[in-house]
Amino acid sequence: MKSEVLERLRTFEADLRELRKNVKAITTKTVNVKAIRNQAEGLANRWVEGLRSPLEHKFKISVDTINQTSEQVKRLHVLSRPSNLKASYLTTLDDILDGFKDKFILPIQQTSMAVESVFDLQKLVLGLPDPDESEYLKEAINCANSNFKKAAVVMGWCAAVDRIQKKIQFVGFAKFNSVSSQMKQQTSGRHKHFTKEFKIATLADLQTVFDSDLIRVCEGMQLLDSNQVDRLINVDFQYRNHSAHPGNAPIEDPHLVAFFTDINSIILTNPKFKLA
Amino acid sequence: MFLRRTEVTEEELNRIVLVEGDEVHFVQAPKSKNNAQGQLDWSLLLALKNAILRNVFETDPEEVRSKCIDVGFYDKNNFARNFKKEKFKNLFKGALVPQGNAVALSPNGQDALGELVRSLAGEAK
Repeated sequence: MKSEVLERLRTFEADLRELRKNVKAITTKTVNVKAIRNQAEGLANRWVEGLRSPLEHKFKISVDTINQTSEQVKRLHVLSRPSNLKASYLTTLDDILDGFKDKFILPIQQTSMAVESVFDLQKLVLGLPDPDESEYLKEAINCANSNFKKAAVVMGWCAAVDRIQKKIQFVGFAKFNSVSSQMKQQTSGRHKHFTKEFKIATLADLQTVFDSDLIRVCEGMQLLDSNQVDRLINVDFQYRNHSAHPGNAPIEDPHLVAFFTDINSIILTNPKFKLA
Repeated sequence: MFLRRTEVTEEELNRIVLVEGDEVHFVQAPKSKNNAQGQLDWSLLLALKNAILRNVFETDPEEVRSKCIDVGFYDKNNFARNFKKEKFKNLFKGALVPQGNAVALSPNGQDALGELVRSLAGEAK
């Protein structure tokens, strides 16, 4: 993506300069040569069809720069109609070309490979399930690949909890309820502080159970071991909370990869959480 | 004004957008059935974005194109034609035209945006 967009930008800039040269060479006051007007229209179309969107959404070029150039391109589009002034063409082209490399090419060159590879999440976290299987996962992957890290973590957590709930529904709510009762009765051992007992009858009931309780009962049901539970609650659920609530704890590329590696391995591709 | 008119709650809004500085991220995106519906949904949502950032419920057609390309709802051959459809015209105070100016949502458009926000917030529950 990065090299492709850079190439498109370089060609676009070169073609703008070529158009400027052609306009400059005209001896009349207005531009009526069809080939030149087509060239201007084609360049305007290339910006709107092939450049603006990746620059705006994938490479996060500043909104002001995008809007300013889009306005200039709109002017070029209008100018491509017959009998517009040569001077207007030249001004517009100069405006678009002004600082073109600094505005677009340089920032993309400096993105390291972040946009290109770090957030192709499906490449980084091998074996992620088919995103079409879960709307949450699909959205999480789209967020991650668009560099919206916090949103990706929140949606990724939804995907994991959604699978846990479906698994419990599959196993049967009676089992979940009885395990929670047994855990409540424990006065020693790992679950001695567990004080809740659930009477779940429907998926809607289950959706009211706190995520951490849900995960602890999964340990009681032997769907998860203690290390998996600790990781989910103490690390991944914290990433989720730090993403969903305002605060200064960072959520950066490594957190995102670690988070998705965990939920993928512990829940989404864990054979114990298969639904069939 | 929009919240009062459409009875959308702040909680519902917060379920679908995440505002970080001067960026508005849609954490709940529409699952539009086809490109035309996707174009319409995003035209409304971009008006919401502009209202959050600049306090004006208006949509720039090129911003719509850019977003539709990004999210996969862009139909090059029908993009301009979709804007001319009656349901689009009804939602904006003027015609959205490729390479044209931003156009404000009509009262019907605000209602439609309210419905869309509520429906997305419902899906996000």
